[in-house]
Amino acid sequence: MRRVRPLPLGRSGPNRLMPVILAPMAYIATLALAGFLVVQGLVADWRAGMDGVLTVEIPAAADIPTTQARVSAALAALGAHPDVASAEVITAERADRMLQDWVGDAVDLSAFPLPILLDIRLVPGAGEGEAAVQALLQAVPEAEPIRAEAWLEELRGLVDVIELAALGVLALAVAAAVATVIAVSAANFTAWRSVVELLHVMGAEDRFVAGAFQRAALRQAGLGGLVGVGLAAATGLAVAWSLGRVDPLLVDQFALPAWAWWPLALVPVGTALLAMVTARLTVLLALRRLT
Amino acid sequence: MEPIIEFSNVGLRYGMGPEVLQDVTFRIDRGAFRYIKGPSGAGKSSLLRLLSLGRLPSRGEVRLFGTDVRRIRRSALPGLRRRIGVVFQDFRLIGHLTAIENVLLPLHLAGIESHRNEAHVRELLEWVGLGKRMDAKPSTLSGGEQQRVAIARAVILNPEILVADEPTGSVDDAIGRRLVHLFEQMNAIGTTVIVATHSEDLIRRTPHDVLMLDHGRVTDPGARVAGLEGLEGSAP
Ligand SMILES: Nc1ncnc2c1ncn2[C@@H]1O[C@H](COP(=O)(O)OP(=O)(O)OP(=O)(O)O)[C@@H](O)[C@H]1O
Ligand SMILES: [Mg+2]
Repeated sequence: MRRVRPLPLGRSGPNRLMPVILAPMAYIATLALAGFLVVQGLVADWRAGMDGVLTVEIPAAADIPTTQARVSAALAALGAHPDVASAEVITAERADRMLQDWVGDAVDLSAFPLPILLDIRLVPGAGEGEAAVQALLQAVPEAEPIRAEAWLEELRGLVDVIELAALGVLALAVAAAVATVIAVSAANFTAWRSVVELLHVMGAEDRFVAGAFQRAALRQAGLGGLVGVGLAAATGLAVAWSLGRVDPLLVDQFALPAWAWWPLALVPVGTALLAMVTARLTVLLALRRLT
Repeated sequence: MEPIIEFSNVGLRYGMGPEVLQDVTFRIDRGAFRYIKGPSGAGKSSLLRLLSLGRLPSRGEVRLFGTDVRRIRRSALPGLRRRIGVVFQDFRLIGHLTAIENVLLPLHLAGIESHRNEAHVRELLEWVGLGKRMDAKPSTLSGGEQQRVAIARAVILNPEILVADEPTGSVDDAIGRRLVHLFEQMNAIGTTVIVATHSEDLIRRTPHDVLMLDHGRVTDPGARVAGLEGLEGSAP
């Protein structure tokens, strides 16, 4: 059976512009969303890394025996506490290596009296380990818990700003895309107005006319969305590659969490659906005005 | 005979403009053949627009198929429109579709495309002398050829009402006679035919009742026998 060719609503007229305009918007939206998700992932990683872990600093005393006594007292107090799963000295060698990375080879660390760091793992449900810290401070008043949480709280402000900025860019991209799709749909309808009026008088059902327009919009916007996300993926890969050249570990740090791929994959789908619904509403409203 | 079209005190204006039809009252019985004649700008095309449900009246009552068109649900209008075939004064073929696709379009809109129907479309196009131009785009057809495609498109669904605006305006005499013959054949099988025309010649050659229109008013409703006394809807 010969089919009447569908009207070329997508391939001519203003609709042709849809992919060209929507691809950059999908690109920006994807990058903003990816940025937001990366930051979320980083924060979650930090929190997970810190959950149930405490670091305590025992300042070095003037002589080694006193220092050793403080460390023993601290380990004893912690070992006796029910909230503590394990407590151990971060060995001098390990601490040296961590520090040496910071200060570089030029400085000879063995010349300084370094504080002793205790690595404490809490039992699940021990919260932030306040009770254990209290017990420790009673035994060794000089001990200084290192408040990693506090440090994270300070970072929180920065993280909030970055997340808000990313969401703001995302919202702007979506708003611009909606406005563009409305404008393009209206222009497209105007361009096809005489044909639409003809079909209308020939007894075309509204859903037939709207269907032709929404299919074209779906295709064109979906194309734009795919191109935008594709370009964003290429950008992401380029960034990952550059990070990897700096330090392969950074790539893991900044990698998107597995669940975060879904929202990104939804960008082209969202773009296409947005255009489809907009085109449908534009056409149905315009048809209503035609008697 | 029951009236298939009934106008009572109908007025039509475009937007905020003046009334281009005023107090138009007439009726057309099912199966009739009626010309609508009048000078340019008299309102013939506007009247046909009301007849084909392209517009609703600004005032008064238009009854098609026995129903007041203003009382018809919006969702029921497309179905009614498909029972009315229209030949537009400016043809209005769809430029992106070939001649045969333009004629298939009403079948497509009605959801009844089929091989048998396509054969019927080909036959019809042969008959109007376009057998060799079926796959041509409208822009490559002459005015007369386009008009014949438009007419084929209007009659393909076997409409109950056929409305034609200057259907012989762009064709030579021989083709014109053929087209009018087609209309008469449709009329013979029960289609109500309404043709707007300037052409005295056409009316003389194939005489039927003539509704006269001038300055938006009916000067003669044209139903010589039953029409005048039937104006109030009391036909025998
Ligand atoms: N879409 C429209 N919008 C506004 N005014 C219109 C429109 N169509 C027609 N008119 C006006 O309505 C009046 C009647 O026009 P119409 O086309 O019905 O006349 P007509 O008898 O068909 O003329 P012709 O013989 O030249 O085709 C004219 O004054 C015209 O300017
Ligand atoms: Mg006219």
